[in-house]
Amino acid sequence: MRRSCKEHPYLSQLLDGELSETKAMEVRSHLETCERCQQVFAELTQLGSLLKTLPEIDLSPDFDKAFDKRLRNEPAAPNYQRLFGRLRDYFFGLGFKPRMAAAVIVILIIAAAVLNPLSSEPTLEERFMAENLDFFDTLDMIDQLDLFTNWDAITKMDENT
Amino acid sequence: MAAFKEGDRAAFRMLFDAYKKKIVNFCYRFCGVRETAEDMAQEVFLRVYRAAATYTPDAKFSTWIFRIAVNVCLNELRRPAYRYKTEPVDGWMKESVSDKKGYEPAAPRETSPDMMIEKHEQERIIRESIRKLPERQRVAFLLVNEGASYEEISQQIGLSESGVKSLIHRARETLRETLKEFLRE
Repeated sequence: MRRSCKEHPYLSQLLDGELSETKAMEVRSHLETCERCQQVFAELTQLGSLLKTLPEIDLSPDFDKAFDKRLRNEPAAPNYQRLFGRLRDYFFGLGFKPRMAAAVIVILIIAAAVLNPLSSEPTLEERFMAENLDFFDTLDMIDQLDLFTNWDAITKMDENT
Repeated sequence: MAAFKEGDRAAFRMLFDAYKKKIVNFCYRFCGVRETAEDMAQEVFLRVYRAAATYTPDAKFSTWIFRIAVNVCLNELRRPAYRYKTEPVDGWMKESVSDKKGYEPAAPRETSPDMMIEKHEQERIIRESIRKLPERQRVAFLLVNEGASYEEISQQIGLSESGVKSLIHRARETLRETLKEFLRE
């Protein structure tokens, strides 16, 4: 197979209308002067015509019946699937892009983790505090009496008496 | 399409009637066995039915259904029970003679036994050449002949557009070589 021409790979795309306008013009003007590419292009066009001559097969007479039988055994689509489809249409219909949607989901997860006070279990210390609130109230009261800040003076008073 | 998405069987039936022949023929060109092709086409429509709710209207229905057909075709090739076989020429003859659309009694040249045999032999060789293409080249080539754009094909087979260009180019080069006796007449 000879592939001497650099425009050769573009001939298939030209045939399918897949080249940009500029490139298509370039290849077409090349075709006017290159005999080898003219031949290849003609063969590609012929190949397309040849395939179009292949007759289509008709369906078997019981094709519909056989399919209906298989379809009858199919359960209806579950409601959650329809709901999911509607939600997706709603969000994606508003112009959401997958990356944006992913970013929103990540932000929501982080926000929920940070802001939700119930998101973590209480520590052992917190439990101890809750179970002994009465004791800590008393301790707090004693603390407010400043007994410990004047502890030296109080012990001296004890010694003197 | 909205009714189809909602699971409306009547809407599904309309789509089934509109696409069944195209899908059967696509599968037939891919596998070469009528019975298998019909079975594969039924599988395609069952998958369409099951996935109705997930269909997004931003995708063309034809792109979507052919994407499913491509998956079914490629899966079929991977089945251990898959037998690569083609139908005999006389099978083709019976089929074509009984095909009222393709049969033209007013044209005696076309109906002479020699011409019929020659025509069917040509068809057999063309179909055989297509089936001998590597599977992804075959899929891309069949899709482009169905009128799909490179962009659609790239979505259907999950490959970049430049990859699709290359597949189609290579498929055509191979066919140009194998079918040259019919191209240079």
